[in-house]
Amino acid sequence: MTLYELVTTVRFWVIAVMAALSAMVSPAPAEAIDLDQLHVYGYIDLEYKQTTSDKYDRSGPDDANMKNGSFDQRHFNILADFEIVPALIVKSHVEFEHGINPGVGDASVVLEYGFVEYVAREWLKARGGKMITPYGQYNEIHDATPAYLTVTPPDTIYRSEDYGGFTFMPKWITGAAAFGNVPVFQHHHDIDYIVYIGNGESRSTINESEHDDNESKALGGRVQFTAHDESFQAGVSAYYGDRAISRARMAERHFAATAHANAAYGDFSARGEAAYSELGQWRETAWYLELSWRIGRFTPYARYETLDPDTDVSGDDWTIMLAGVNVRALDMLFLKFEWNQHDRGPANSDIITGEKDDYGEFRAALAVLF
Amino acid sequence: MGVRTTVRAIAALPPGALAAVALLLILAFPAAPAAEEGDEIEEYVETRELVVVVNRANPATSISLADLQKLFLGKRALWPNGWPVNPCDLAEPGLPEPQTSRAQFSQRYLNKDMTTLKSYWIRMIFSGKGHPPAVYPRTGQVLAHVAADEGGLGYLPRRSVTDRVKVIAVIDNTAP
Repeated sequence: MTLYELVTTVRFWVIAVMAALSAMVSPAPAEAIDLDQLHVYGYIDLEYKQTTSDKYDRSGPDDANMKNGSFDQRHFNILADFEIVPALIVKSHVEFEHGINPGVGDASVVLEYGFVEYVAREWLKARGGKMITPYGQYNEIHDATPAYLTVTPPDTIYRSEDYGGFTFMPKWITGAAAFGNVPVFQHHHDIDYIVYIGNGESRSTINESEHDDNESKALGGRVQFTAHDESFQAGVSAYYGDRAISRARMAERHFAATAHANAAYGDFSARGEAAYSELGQWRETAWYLELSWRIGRFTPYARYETLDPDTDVSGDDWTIMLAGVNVRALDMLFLKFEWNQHDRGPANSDIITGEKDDYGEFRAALAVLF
Repeated sequence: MGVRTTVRAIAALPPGALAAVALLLILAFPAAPAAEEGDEIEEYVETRELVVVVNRANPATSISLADLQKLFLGKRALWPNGWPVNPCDLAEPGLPEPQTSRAQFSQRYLNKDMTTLKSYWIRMIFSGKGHPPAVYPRTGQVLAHVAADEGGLGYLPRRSVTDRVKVIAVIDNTAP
């Protein structure tokens, strides 16, 4: 059986399962929501960024000059889970980013995820809808600033397109997934998995997961081991799909893989990840190592991350060393201060001047969870 | 880039950066209400013995520590017989947080202090993987929660247990 036939077969069964799920859900008449079954969460954050260089900017709305420094009402996000019956749950996450004002700047409203989830067995659950791609250990929480110590996740993997590379993997997948967890080692620990099929990427830069402009569907998954007390976790993720780059190149092969691990010992934590991606003949790699030490409400942290945006080109690496502190001022209120030192090779395609450039960037954020 | 260069770079930042730090610090430390403590609270905390309770219809008579952790951390959705798990926590509002039943249960059975537990749930919530158990301030509410749902799971001070629920033993099988 060829890969195409395999995908076609998988697609048929996924559609059949989703149709069956829809039939189970849709006949029910609309009823008032039982608030006991509704769980609503959210977060809001305010960021401040200022660089020591006025040459480059990747992060500011409206291409603001970051040397001037700028506040950014970065996220206002609402999540709602509704349990239709105990085994059937609808989950949603809506994001209002950069103080959205229609028609102005790069602000956006995004359905981060919206899917229905069915629990058949511990080892077999199903999900259908738009989801954040399960990839590595940051993508699924990539915008949820209260969920991680630093101001942003490792940019060299999760925003590589802003650092001279291409997107390691699509941030969203619209399609269906099967997932679950299996106890291992005398039932003490767990291995969890997720496999999915979806649209993959399209030429659209606005909402590329919502439609497919090539006939092959994207496939991917992740498997990871977790200790029973969460003190250690390690896993691998992979993605395979076609990506249309232009009308002439509608089906460039995009493959991505990453391996990650994290460990906690008392108040000390370490996490790392190494990623590889290829798009047609273009290959990129990146990795990071992050360490932190909790001291009461204060958690100092440091991270080293580096991206080689094109393995065939030398001198194009982009390295970021950052150090900062996360302050848990209240249970649901976090304050972050950090210094990022950027080191960009002269051959990096994101460089306008063609000169090697090092620059610093001060970042601060206030994140509130509710 | 050395430390001196970094320090010089930070010092070179215009007042806007320092103003941003000051504003964020002011916003981050609002006044917090003071906690009250007394002899009765100390006695309650010292004599409290937490036990794990389930619905009386639940056939389980014991549970391994590893399974208990998975149920309370949202990593198991079903009991072995297929009933959906519906756990709940007890956090007495009159107690400082580290002395609540939730904190003591979390430390003893989940091997997590409250900060770590909350960080864990933040990651779970925002990755769409689950939400924390309901938290009740009174033992009567935990009793009602567990008694009303055949998949109910909770913990209580032993002296608060009634025949509406069933106590199950926790077996620590995680030791090497």
